[in-house]
Amino acid sequence: MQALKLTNLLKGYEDCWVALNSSRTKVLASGQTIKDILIKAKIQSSEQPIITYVSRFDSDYVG
Amino acid sequence: MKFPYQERPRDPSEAFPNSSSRLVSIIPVTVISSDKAITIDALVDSGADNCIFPGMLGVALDIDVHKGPKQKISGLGGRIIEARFHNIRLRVGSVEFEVYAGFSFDTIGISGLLGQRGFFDNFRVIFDRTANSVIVKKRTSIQKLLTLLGS
Repeated sequence: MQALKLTNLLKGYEDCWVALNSSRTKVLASGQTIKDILIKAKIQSSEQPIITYVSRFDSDYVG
Repeated sequence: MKFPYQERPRDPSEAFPNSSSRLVSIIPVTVISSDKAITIDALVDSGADNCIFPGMLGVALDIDVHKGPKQKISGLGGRIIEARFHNIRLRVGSVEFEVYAGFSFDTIGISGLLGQRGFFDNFRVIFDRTANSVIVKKRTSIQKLLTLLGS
């Protein structure tokens, strides 16, 4: 299986919330709150977006 | 269900000077409360005790987040955050199930966490990083019973 390559798509959205289209090829909206990006995404597309947070690029994550 | 690892951006660092991306075991889940549903990415995290989501997701789902019972949560570095717990439904692929999940207004640095309580006790999980895949299989009631009996 190929990894889902989101590096280029998400590069400009560090520390932001992002709404992606369902095939994850396009950023529909970005911002600092989920509510805001859901409203913006609805204007762009009628499909249910996938919401994701783009973690900081300067640090790795330990859960 | 098989999900691909996600390749996401990171900055090269002193320790990893040639690394400008990271592979993460993040999968999409739909979080459902009453008649609202939002699909969000969440990290499958065997080190997390619970499923945790940002408080603002709860708000977007019209959950009265602050009314839920609270639980302190700590991680690496010892920082303690507070989460408020609510019964919600999660959908992973075609499987929908009830979860008692935490919502926190503190920064968690990620869209969501799928942890031991609520996720790993409902699914068998295989992390296959070299094959770039996370495999999740719903446990049946019989499998859960056999596990409890030690078979």
